[in-house]
Amino acid sequence: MRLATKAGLGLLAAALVLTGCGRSTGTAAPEQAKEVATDTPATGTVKVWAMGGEGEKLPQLAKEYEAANPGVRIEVTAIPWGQAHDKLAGAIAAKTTPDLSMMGTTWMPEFGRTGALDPVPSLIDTTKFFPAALEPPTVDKTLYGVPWYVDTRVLFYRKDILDKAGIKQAPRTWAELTAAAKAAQDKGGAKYGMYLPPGKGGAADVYLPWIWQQGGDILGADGTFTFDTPESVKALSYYQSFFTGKLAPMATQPGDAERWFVDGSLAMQITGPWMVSKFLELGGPGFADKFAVAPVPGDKTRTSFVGGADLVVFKDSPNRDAAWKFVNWLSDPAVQVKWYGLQKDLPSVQAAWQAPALRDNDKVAPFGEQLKDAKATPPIGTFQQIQKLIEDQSEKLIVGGVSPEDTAKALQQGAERIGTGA
Amino acid sequence: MATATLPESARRAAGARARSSDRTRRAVAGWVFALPFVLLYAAFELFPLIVSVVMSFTDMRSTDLRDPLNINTVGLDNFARILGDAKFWQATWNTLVFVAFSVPFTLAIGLALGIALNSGVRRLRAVFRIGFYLPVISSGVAVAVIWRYLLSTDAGLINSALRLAGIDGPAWLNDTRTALPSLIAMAVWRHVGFAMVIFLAALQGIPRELYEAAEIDGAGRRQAFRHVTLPLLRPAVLFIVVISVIGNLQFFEEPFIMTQGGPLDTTTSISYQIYTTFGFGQYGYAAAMSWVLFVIIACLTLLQFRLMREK
Amino acid sequence: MATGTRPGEYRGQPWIYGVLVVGLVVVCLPFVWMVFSSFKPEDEIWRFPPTFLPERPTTANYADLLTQLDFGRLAFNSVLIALVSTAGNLLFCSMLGYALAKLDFPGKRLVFGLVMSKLMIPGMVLVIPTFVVVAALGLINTYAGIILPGLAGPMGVFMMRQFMLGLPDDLAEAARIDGAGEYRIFFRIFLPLCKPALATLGILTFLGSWNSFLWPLMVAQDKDLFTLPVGVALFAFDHQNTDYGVLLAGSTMLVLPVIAVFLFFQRHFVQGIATTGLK
Repeated sequence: MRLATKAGLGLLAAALVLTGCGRSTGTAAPEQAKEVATDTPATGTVKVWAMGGEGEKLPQLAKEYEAANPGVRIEVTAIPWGQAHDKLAGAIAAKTTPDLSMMGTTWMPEFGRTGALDPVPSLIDTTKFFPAALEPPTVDKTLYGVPWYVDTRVLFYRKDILDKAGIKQAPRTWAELTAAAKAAQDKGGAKYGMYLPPGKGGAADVYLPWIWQQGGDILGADGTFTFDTPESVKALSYYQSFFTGKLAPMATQPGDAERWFVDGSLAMQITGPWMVSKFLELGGPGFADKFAVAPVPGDKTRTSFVGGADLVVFKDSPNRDAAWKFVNWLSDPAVQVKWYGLQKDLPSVQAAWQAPALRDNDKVAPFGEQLKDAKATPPIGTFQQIQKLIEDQSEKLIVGGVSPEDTAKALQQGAERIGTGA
Repeated sequence: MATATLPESARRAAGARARSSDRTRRAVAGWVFALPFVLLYAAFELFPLIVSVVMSFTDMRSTDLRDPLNINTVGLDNFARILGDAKFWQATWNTLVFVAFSVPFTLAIGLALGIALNSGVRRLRAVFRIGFYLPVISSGVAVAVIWRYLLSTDAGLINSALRLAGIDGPAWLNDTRTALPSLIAMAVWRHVGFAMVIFLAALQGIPRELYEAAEIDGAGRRQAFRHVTLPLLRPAVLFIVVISVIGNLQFFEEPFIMTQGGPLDTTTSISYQIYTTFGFGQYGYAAAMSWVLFVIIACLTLLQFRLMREK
Repeated sequence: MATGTRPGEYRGQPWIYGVLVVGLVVVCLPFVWMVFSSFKPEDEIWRFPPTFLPERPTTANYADLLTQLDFGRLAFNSVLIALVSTAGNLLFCSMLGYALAKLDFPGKRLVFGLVMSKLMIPGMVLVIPTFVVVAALGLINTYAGIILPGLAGPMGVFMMRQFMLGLPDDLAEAARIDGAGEYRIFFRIFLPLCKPALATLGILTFLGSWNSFLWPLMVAQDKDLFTLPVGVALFAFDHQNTDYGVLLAGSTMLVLPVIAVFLFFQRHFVQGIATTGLK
């Protein structure tokens, strides 16, 4: 509360000092992490915020940690996803943060730069994670979060429809994907061969991997945007070709793709791990045999997008050491497998994928395969704006019929106007 | 009786004193009545308002949350940027179109319902009242689910009905020509109940003796409506018009739950624009946009007070 | 009271009923669909075209919600917060509304300006600074922190002012001549005349407080202070896991108490108001 008062006075001062003090430019050197004392057991209360389903299930797992560490109490507060960002922002401003919180990977650059997060101490062995999962929590060369779980996009396809269309194997290349979509419509009896977001609803998730698969990127090594490249234009024309070729539906509403996939009007789509259980539930008994998952079709590589959630500890935490010890426990391979059993979150720790529960499940193992060739979105503070820009311009490309070349130019101009926020 | 013996001038002075002490007493009472609001305003509103004004002249971003002194003032840059922000002006146009259609429809239907329920309709009155109010109290999520079903392109209820009539219905929410009108229809559907309830309360507040007096004076139904109902309804009408315009100028939920501002920005509103800018962490720019919206709303509201000729 | 129609009233003609009934069906159909669908299994909700009545009714969606929610606690918090907010708004808004409409006091225009400006400012950018204020006052994780900022809403003040303006000034003058004090005039004469407006304000405030979402969640730091919408959102409106059945069950559960409140205010305030006022 004293801290809160100070924060209040701080903002008041900010309000009154119109002449401003000027932003101190970001420090180039990585922030030094404080060590965690490992010779003493974790004690006290650790307050944790976790979103959605994770917030509901985490207390079950935490009980095991409490049993093994009698001095510690883990207090989990579940927060709805839709309000979590505002709640975190308010808590940082008023300095009323918990000890530990879950955080979406796309929020890391933003909250990492507030100075509210504690750098990851050497207690955590970072070599055990998928390397791509460490990209988002690394902000200005400092690691501020530990990957808790990952998600990646793979190809979901209706085996029965592709079978009927004479396609025995999941498509591996762009050309094969187009051909499969066409065959599914012509011979497989599907109304739509493929689903792709027509702009809104995740354009960046499909467009960026298509650039990466050609060896390109949207951010050069010097930190400037590179939307106006041959790779980008090629990705955009490939995107557009599904709609001009009538292989993907243009007018859709949220939920349509899932429903169509289950009722057989849609043959293929690229989506994330949470859809496996959704399809099994919606499709009912027997549906498990009708669909399969495979790594995404590619060009030079078959790179996909990786996201997920990180765990962060706050600098204002009164129980920092215990919080980090709990994080360390959560990233233990055996605990990660247990967590997969509880919440179906994909482990961020590579060793966990050797467990039979993951390795032997044909709906899950392809995700592990895909994670070896996956890339995170660029760790820039303005990425959410870039994402929106990509959605808006893709909509113009698909619905508005703008050419791929002009779209690439518009993306480049828009991105330069937005900047990287550095 | 003492006053009777006083000279006229002294009596008048005493009367003036009494009147002025009366006036003081009323002023004190006014402030006592205003006190709770003013105190709460001073405690919870004043500071955030000052902050948001100041913020609009700075480049504050969400990354400055923990260290809010560490920002630059940028003068009028944010406001200059709004002038050149094509998206903001598109949003402003959409917002004005939305208000121009949804407010009159909501008010007209709401008033008709209020009058019908207040007088002619006796049976089932409670059912009608709550029925027309249901959309107001339904949660946004349920409303979104239902309207998506109604407006879905290939199997939606409306297009299925149109198909029976041999018409190929449009892709309501995905077509640049029909998206905003769809949201307007939805907004009218949602808010008619609110207008009805307010009009109903106002109609019920009119003492029936006034109608009896009008009847004695030989006024017919129509005349009574014009000369008794309408004038007494005027403050309530002003209230509902002002509230509707203010609320609709801030319209947000419809695009938020239905279209995310699409297709091609045809349903983006100013509030939605502020919301996304704020979500991007550009607090300074979002604050500036908020104040521009405030000025637009304030001007239109003042205009309404003028037009309704309130003192 | 039920004897005939008053002058200025339209008789209940059959065509009016016809129009009203058609309108009612159009307006309520989606709502009724929501309630029915909350009893459907997930795959039936997703089916296209949608079914109206559940083919295989199930209470699984409600069971799901109720087992995961600490329903009693959440409902208690929601009811407490909504009731206190409603009581506060009824009192404070009508007090200020009366002062603005019927009394002259220095600074009146300024106060009215404050009320109106509060209505006109988009709230989005104010949330975090308000939260900082509440934190500085030490009200985080308290009922007071949730309730106080909304205890005298501007819409209520504006509404009560407009209704008071519609009441004749002579009422106050007559009472003053009889020697009644200012407070007595307000509480004994004007407030009772405002019952229809108060009932409406009560419904609107209760509804607003009951449905408010972001603010209670920001102030509450542990789940003992969570409200029903927050609880329902946690389980039903989750991000990637859109379980429509649970979502519709949650929405239905949120709406039912509001309907109850609506009926309560209707019965106790609005009915039997036909004769009021001027004596």
